[in-house]
Amino acid sequence: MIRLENISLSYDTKTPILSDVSIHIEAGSFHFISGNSGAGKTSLLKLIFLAQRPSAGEIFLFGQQVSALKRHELPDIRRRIGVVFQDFRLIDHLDIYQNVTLPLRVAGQREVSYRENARELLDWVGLGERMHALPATLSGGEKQRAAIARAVIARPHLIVADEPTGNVDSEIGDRLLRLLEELNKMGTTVMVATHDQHIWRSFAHPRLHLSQGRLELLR
Amino acid sequence: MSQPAAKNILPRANMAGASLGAVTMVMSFLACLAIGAALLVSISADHWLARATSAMTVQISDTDAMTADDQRVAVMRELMRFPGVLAARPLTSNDMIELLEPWLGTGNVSDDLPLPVLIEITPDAKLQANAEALDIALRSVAPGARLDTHGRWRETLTQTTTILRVFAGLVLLMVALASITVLIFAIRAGLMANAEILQVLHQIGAHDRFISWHFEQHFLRLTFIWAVLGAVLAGSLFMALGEVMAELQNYQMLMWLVPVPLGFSVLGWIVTRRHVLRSLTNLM
Repeated sequence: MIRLENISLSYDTKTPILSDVSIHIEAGSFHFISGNSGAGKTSLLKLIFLAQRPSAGEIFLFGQQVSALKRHELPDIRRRIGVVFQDFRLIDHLDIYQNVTLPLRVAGQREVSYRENARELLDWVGLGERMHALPATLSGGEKQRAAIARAVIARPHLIVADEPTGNVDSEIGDRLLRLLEELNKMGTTVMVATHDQHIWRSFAHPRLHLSQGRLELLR
Repeated sequence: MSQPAAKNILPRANMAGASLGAVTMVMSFLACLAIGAALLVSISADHWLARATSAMTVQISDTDAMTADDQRVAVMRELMRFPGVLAARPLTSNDMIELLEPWLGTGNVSDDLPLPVLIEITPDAKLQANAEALDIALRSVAPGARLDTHGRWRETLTQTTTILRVFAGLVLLMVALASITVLIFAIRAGLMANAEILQVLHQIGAHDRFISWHFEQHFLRLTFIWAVLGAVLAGSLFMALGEVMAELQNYQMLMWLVPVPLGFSVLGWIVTRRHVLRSLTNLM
């Protein structure tokens, strides 16, 4: 599913963010990525969800070498990855239904083909009653659930979440994690970056710990 | 429950849109004013030159052999048969007094003031080039006759109008450059205000051309609508001022304003396309 080979990343020559990182993530797995603030969790995720190029090394996603892909081939890979951002990144002037269904609209699907599925998904994440609300009127937990719904609506093979519980209280955070576990049980590979010890202690999944640019697998 | 129609991915109205709209309208209005001013200078210069070249004067003075009045008859006869003279009219003493009154004051032109005989000629365009032949012909029948083509004054007027045209052109150029610069900055600011939408679309797998098309469409419509408003405002001003300056109510002149909103729209489209594609390239 995901293979990183000797990945290094640095924004300047002095302090590397990632240094010679190699990992192999199996399809259908659930991993936490831990590390202190600034350890490089977001940078690692950005490499995986194709928002950044490594300074050195190779990334393989879904069996394809990313560096060998042409620019116009990258969007199709991105559509197979659902990303949940810490700051939600919902589009302010679109209601929740429009935000959540945006990946399908971008993929060129007609609304009639996904309307029912989108409603079911919104019901599943508990936003069925609020589908026509604007993001500004939603609580942090509701926004995060909308962000998760947007990440999963196109049935991605991989979900990457960057501090998904960072802006919600612990009870809602646990519910969001259970939501991601349910998706994982349906076969979706999940990677969650978090610095919250409570999260990785409460959920029994392997953890990739980042420290000083190095990645260590902890079980 | 029915779903609302799919909304535009970019917001129709936000702060960036309002600012860009206002800037576009003001710059379009100024560009149209500059075009109007340049055209007005050009039209006025043409009128002045046309009027300056549409008149010649024959001045007749007494000579030892003939009085001015005797010579006037011969001159009129010669003018009537000379090719290119459309009309010739001797000025009456009242006409002469009217001409002198601005300098001497009303009622100050005394009867004993010696005044020459003046004949006003309306020439056709070709006669200007043939003025020397006319002068020779007139002197042959009336030795006291002298043709005045107002050449020196016309030369000065030509130079003045040329300078005015150059100034108007420079003002137009400067306003155009300022408009382009301000518009580029305003569009970039508008694009930056929507940068997060661009990033989200990119991340959820939109192709570059899909994102670019949405942004191009949005900013093209925005700049076109506001630039048209600026041009309409300027055109309305010209029409209103036409009450005091007839040249402004020239519909052909208004046609010159049409390229302004079109130019702004094309510029908006190019800037948007370049900025979006460059931003996407930077995003990987």
